[in-house]
Amino acid sequence: MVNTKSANRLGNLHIEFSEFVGRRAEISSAKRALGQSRLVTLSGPGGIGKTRLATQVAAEVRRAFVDGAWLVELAGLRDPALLAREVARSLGLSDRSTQWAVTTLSDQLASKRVLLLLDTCEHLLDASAVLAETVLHSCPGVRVLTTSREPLGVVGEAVLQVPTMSLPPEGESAAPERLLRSEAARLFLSRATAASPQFSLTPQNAAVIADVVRRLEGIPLAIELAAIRMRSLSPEQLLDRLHDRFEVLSTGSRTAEARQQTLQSTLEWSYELLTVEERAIWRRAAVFIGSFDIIAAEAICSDGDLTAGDVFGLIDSLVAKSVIMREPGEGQARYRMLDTVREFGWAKHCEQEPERWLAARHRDWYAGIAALPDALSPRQVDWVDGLHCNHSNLRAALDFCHGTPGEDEAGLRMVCDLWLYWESRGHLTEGRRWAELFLHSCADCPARARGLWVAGYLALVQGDIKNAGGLLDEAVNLGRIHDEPTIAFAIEFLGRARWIQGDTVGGVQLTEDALQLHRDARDWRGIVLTLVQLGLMKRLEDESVDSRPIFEECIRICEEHDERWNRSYALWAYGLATWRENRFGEAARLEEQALQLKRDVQDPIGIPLCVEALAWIASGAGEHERAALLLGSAAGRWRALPGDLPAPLATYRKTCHEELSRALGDGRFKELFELGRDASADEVLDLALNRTSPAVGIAPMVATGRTSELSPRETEVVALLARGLSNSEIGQHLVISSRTAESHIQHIMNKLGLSSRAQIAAWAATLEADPD
Amino acid sequence: MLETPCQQVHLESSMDGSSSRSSDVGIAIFMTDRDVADATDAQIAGVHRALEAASRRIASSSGTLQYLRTVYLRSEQRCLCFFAASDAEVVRAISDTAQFPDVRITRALEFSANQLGEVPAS
Repeated sequence: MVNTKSANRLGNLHIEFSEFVGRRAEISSAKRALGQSRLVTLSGPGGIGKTRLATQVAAEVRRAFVDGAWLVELAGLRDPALLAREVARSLGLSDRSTQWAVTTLSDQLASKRVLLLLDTCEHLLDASAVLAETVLHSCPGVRVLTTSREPLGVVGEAVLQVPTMSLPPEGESAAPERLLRSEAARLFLSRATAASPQFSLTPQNAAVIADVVRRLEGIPLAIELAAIRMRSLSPEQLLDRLHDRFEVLSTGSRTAEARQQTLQSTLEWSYELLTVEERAIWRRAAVFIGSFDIIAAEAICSDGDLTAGDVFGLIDSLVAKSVIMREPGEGQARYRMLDTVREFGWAKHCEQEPERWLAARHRDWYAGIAALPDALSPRQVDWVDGLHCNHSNLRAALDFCHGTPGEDEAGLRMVCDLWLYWESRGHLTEGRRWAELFLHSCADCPARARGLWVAGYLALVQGDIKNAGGLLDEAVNLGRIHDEPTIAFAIEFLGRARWIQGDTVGGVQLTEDALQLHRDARDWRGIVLTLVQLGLMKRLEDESVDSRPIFEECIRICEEHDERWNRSYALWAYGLATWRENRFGEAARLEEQALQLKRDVQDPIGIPLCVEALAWIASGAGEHERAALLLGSAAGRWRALPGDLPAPLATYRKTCHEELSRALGDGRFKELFELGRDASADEVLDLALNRTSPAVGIAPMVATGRTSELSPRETEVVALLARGLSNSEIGQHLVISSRTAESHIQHIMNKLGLSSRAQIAAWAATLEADPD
Repeated sequence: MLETPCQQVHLESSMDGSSSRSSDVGIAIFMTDRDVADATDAQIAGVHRALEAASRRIASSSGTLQYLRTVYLRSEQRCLCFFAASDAEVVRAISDTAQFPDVRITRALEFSANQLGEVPAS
């Protein structure tokens, strides 16, 4: 909603593969309720179709919410303290501060018109109620739709009990057109036709189908599971089997309990119809929380009897039988089960196999992914994305460690291995909570020193310097006693904490000590992390220090390893140092390169850092209007996180503010600042990288030079570049080397005051349109 | 996150801040302490409302407990919240439910104006 490239202003609702059937009366009731009450709960037992109904309602009303309808899936969340942050995560907001999460969420939503769909609240009922009450109190444009097996119990909540689907009336003639008035029959027909395209409703089978859906009590999940059997059974055969199965229930009244028995029996029946291997996969795939991929399933669900090679075919078979669903979306296929189906599978697993065995394999798999050395490598974006998709599984693995005697240290190691994931995706509070939890129970374990510095680092990034300092001090002391191999990180981060607290000499000394330890260990990852910090500290401590060799070494090592995260920070810091030497063009190019990398690695805090640096540079270069826009843009991005500049840099912001106010006048400065502050994330990137203005679309803002300043050869290069040619293609055309072409382009940018190829192309286009 | 042992008092406090002796043996006053930087009045009011709602809901399922008050020390950027509860874990559950976690929880001794310095029986 606020700061992600993928976010869509209309929200994040899935498009389901299967057709939505019926429920017009319930949809109308829910829409009416949402018009009258700001909190509506769709309540009912598992399998009744609450989530599907709520998603459909949200999809139908989302155009009434200019800032979108947002689905928050809560089934994988167990910790009530993280609920507000989970909502923020679903909205694309990042958790950077130690502020009360409910407040930051409310601040973001205060002026928005948003529908929040909180799905599966029953296990977080109290926290969901408190959050809904608080957000609704502070955000007049927000409405909340929840699904829960029981109501939230909040004043003003409209509760709609989701009923079973309408059935064909008993005794009524079962003509096909009459049968189609029943929602249950329509759902059965839809799913049966999807499973078996040759199946159709006929005057001959209509009565039997009516009996089938009556037997299934109109429960959507039961109907879906039974309809899939039309691939191998006739309607009569299906009815016979249901009759045998549910005889004991047939005389009962349609109470809620009886319906639950019907659902349970349908699940049992579906289970028994599977092969032994399919049943094993149903039981074992129930270990996954949220969605999973086939590689994880092959690794976790196989054993001596069931090879990894069998697993895909069995998953595919369970997808065909509606036990497992393939998630909508592009890219690698992911699968999930409905909660009710998963709970059934897990209960079966616990009856038949040792529960711990499977949960331990699940933990081992995700602990293994967490421990891959990919966080600082060419694969870092894939690593982070993969973990992001499996966030609920990571939580389940950590829950297992916390709840199983003797597994706390494994939990602490896993939290530590994820340290850059917690940071890069803004799960700072969650990472800190897990670290604290395991540190509490790992008073003497070997992983403690590392756990302390990871907790300290996350606190440091979150701006909680007081707690960070204490944790890092303890980490250094403990690490020295126990010869902890990662102590260099503890020392480095303690140095950063000291520096932020104003002890610049102590901060630099600790950082140099850490760098030496990293060099001794030949740990290039540690070296590049420390070089960025050291270069910045030294340059800011003493403006006469030439920190370029430090940044150049860092960039070189990162390039050797194709590492982008630290390269972007090194470029950012190098840009700042260059700006302080008043070399504005070079500084801007460095910051733009840094920003492009930060966009690629999706570093939420790095983007406003670079945008703000570009503002300072533009101000120094006399581009005051652009500087004001960029400064406002950075402020808007910081607010959206929420987060802020590291304290030692705050003085540059203050100076920039004052200079721009003086140069532009308070009114014009404020106008441009607010324009930038309210720009979207994409507009900010366009402004920063392509010099477009959020107010004027893509027209180049600045191209102060003129064609007469270009040499004939440079004019030729501009023309070729505007046609989209690469350096080597330009070289081939002009019979020069690509390096010479690059050199011409550099000169062109310097003469025109531009800083990217795209800007040259845009400028050339404006010349074509208006040669004068 | 530390619980500091301190003298347990038997008090029953109401939302208006008055306190009196309680017959609920085992109920003590607890204070939570959390750093909250640059909070506005409205934000602290929001914390207060959330804690009040969370304690009301948890009280209905886990017996005697009462949220008493929230005090924000602006100069120190600290938020102190007071509860009458049976143990620290209940207080932690309230804080988590209000999504105001990561608090230091301390058992406290409280005297109110009408007690005139009398040491409560432990």
